[in-house]
Amino acid sequence: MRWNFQFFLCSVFSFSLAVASAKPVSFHSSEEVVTALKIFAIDKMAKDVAKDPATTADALLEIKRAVDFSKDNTLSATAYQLLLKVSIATLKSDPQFTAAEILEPLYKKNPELFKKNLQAFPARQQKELLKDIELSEKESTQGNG
Amino acid sequence: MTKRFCLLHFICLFSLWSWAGNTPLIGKVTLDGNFVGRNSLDFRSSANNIGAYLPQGIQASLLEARKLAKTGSYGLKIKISALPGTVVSPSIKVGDEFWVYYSERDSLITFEDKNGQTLDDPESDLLNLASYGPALISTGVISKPSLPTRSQILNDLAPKPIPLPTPSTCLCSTQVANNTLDDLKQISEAIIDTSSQKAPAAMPEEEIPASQIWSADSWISKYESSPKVHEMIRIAKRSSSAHSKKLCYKYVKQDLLGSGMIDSYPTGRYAKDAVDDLKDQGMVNLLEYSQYKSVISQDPSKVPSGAVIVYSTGERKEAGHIEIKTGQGDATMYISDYHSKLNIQESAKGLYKEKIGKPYEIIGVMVLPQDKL
Repeated sequence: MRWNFQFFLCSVFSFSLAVASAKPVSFHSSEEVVTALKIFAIDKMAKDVAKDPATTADALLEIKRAVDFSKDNTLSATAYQLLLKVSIATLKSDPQFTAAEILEPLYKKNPELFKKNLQAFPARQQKELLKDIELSEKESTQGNG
Repeated sequence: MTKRFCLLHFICLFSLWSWAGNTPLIGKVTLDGNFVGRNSLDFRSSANNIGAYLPQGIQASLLEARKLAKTGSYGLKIKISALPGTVVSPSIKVGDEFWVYYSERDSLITFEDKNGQTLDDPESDLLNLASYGPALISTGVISKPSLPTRSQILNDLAPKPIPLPTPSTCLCSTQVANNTLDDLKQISEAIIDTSSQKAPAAMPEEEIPASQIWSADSWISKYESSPKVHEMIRIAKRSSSAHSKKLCYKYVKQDLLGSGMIDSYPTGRYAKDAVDDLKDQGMVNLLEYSQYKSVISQDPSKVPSGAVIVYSTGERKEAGHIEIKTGQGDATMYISDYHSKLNIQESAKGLYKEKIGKPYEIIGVMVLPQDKL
């Protein structure tokens, strides 16, 4: 009886650990966001983001984690700028502009702050990103047919 | 006191009588044409509220009516009670509610009273209904909506001549100069746009040879080389660009209808609906045949040339994806509203979706059956 209970507890603990490890790790601070995204803004990596789908996918995953962090926290100015920089870089190798889809909740949370941070980028890139977010929103409400 | 009470009583009774006498008679409405069903009471082209394209023959009950201040027409909120026997998108169901535009001048709606008798003049009942709710000030008028036809699609794809100023028109004319400048600006932006993208190789116009995989199959090799499929691919190449517009299914619908692969415009909103929509149009899903399913599995590169590949992530809220495969080997391209040498699974988006546990999975490989080739 005692052995069976201990076995049960071990099984539950192991299962919980397995489930927890399968989920992507969340950020806990803006500094962690900066550390994770900075790597994609370094020269060689930035070039790979712009042309290699696999690297772009890795960058998109970090963008997603950063946006998830921002849902309940405030991103620092540095983190926000870096997030937008990496997102815009992914648009070059991603005809589906997935980054815009991921950024949609961040934009909706505070559109004025989003646009203010976007002003650091060339006008054409600002317009493209905002247009892509609008198209992503349209797809989620109206479909793609 | 007694007099006041009697007066009040009389007023209440009169009001009740008035309301009872003016109870709307409309019991059922039938759509005699194709309508745009909207999710809210806003018929402007910028409204971004299209819920579904409602085909002719739908029967519904009338929930609300609003008179549009600018046009004098009505917005009607309907609840679908019966679907017609003809092709209807599986995304439209009994019980769905939509706003549709109704104009007496161009009426395509039949109104019946609760006894099933046609109402020749529903205006008074509509006014009555509308008086119980706020009117909408519409800033635009939507003309009679209709689903695209094959000729409209082909006409839209035909190259438009660039208007040149006539010899008598001074080039210093502001409007002509601005139009010309706008055209040049659009062309230059398009060049920059395509050159900054990882542009695929030039689209080959030569005949696509049957693949080694499918050459032994008489049906599929005939499909790959059929004139309809070639025409579909030709139209798809002309209308796509290097950058998605998030309208993959819309473009594939136009490609299929414009080439005569299907006879009418599918009304599904989401790419993942395409399997059912296209089966209703007479196409077949190769994944429903075990011998083809084992060859294709989940690998788009194994799909026959000219097949329409339908993907789903399994998430209810996501639209899925659809693309037409052209060519084989190094000449392979995947086309929808954009063209790419990579299918959606190999793209950055597909790889990202796989990382977050929502991969794009092939749910349909749609082709025409032998008797339609």
